[in-house]
Amino acid sequence: MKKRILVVDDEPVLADTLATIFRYAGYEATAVYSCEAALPIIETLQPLIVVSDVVMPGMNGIALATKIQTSYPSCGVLLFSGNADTQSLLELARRDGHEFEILAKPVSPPYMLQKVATLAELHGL
Amino acid sequence: MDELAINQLAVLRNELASLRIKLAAAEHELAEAQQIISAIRAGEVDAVVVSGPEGDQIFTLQGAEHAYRALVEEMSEGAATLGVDGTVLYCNQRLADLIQIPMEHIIGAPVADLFSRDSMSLVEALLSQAQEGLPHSSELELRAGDGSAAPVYVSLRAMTSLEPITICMVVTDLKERKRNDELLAAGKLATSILESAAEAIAVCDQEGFIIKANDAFEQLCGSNPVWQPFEKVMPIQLIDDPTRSFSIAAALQGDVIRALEVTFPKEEAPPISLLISASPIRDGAAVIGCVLTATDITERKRAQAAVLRSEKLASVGRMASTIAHEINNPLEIIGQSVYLAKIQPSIPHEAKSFLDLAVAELERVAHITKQTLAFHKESSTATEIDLRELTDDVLKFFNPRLMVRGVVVEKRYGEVERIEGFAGEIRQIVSNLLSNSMDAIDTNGRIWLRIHSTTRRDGRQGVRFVIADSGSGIRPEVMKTIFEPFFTTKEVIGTGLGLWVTRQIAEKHGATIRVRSKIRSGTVFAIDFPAVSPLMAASIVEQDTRAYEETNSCG
Repeated sequence: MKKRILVVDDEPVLADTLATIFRYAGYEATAVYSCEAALPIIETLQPLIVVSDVVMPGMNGIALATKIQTSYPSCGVLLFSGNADTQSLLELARRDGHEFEILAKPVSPPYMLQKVATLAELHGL
Repeated sequence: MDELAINQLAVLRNELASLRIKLAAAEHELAEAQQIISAIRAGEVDAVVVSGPEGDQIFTLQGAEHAYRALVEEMSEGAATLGVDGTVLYCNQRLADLIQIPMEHIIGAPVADLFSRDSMSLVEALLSQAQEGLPHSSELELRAGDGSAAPVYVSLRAMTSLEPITICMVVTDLKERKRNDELLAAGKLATSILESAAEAIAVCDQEGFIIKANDAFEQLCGSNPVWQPFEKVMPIQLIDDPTRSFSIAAALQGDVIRALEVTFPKEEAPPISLLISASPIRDGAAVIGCVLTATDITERKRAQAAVLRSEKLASVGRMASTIAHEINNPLEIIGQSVYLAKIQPSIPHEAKSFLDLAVAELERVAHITKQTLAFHKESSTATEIDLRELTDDVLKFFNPRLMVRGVVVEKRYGEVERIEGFAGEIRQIVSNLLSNSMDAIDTNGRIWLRIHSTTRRDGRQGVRFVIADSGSGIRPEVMKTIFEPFFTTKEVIGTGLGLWVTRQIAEKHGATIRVRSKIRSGTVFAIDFPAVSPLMAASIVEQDTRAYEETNSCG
């Protein structure tokens, strides 16, 4: 079975292209454009890894990541952001006992693939 | 002897006797006349009353006492002599002028008639007291010829040495004195306003010479400005148009100048910004001078400029951040697209090398945007910091400038010097102090950096950071203010926030700053950091660090 990845970014082109890259790398990748859209898909798809943007309209990536860690502990989360103001969000999450790494956009595709591979290994499949 | 002769002798004897009687009478009269004359000569008589067909007439006398009489005539007070019954025996012209009645009509009249009805009873009381030899005075009202009342001050005194007793009356015009008092009070008021005003105030004459200036004005121009031309004392220029000098000519031509912003260049100090107002002083239609007020707005202008600059920096920072952020998504997509193109198996070899080039250049752009963002963004997590590494990092950043200026940096670090805090903020401190030292040195000098462990008085461990320079030093009079916001000696480039921010950060980290300086020798700043920061202990989470960072970035 292919490793499933869900890509979340409010910029559809970005989400789609990234999903394409993952597919080329042998993953089964799906792209959604908001955290709200991501939640039901995570439920049905049970992805191994969720790669999400942080600052988005509506629910933000850190809230999504926190929810995933609570509800789907086996699912790995990788965050990436083009925004500088994510530190305070991270610290809020840290206070609640959640540790995340945020990659700074632009993330070079080879680096992204490497990160995802490491995370996939960590989440054992 | 014949009978005729005897009769003649008897007649002669009789005549002789009557002549003797007449002679005695004449001698008596002569003695009396001589007495009167000598009395007149002695000035004991003011007037002689002569009975005539038209009633008694009073003749005032001129004589040896003419000088005194002239004095009485010339004096500014009204004067009169009165008989014990209150009849005016004599009055001077001044009294006549006060009452506006010819002198002849006053002399011989009862003195009470000269006063208003309200004053009459008082006059009579005064008279009776004066008759008893008591000097007395009171404020009364004269009844002038035109029916108006004139306030006066009246003193009466009986001259008991004279026979008959004469009463002297002196009448002072209060109308004039009251006006003088008012003028005097107004003058005093004006002077006290002038002196107590915080604004510098000067009064110029028609020619533009300063005829009066308050202390604030003198302080402003640094020397006594009185009797100097205003334009020489204060050669000020318009802020809006520095090529134009300010002239008070307009005010002297009758124009009012309101709140004009000017600069006042000083010889050995930075120029002062002033707000100048000038109004003409008129005497009727003619302009006889002008009043100038100058308010020192240097501090205000400086603070405004600093706020403006920091706002500008903040908005530049925000803009850079926004742009970088906006660019990051497209960059990400371009990177992804190039990557996808590159991994296509059908791609020609030449195209692949171009795509590699694109990837390399993309990385460069990505690096630039990340740096721009990093400038704006600071970690708000307190971490363990090696002060030596951090200082060396900052030094690297300053190195090119230090080299250009020929500044040699001597370092002496201890073994391992760790403190706890916000790395970005500590970097700001080191950077601010290093920058200040560099500016103080200008060119060719030395900066010493020392970092070593300390044991504080209370036994706690800490790290001391010391930066010393061979620069110009801090003037003792400004030492107190160097940590205040908007204080700067670097007129052109300073925001006056550097040391203020430095102290804020130091205090936040539980550190203390000490400074020692000597003019033309240099300055030493020493900061004592606690090894264990209160920040770490409290695990402070900075919700909104942006405002603070913006403040820092313009220090």
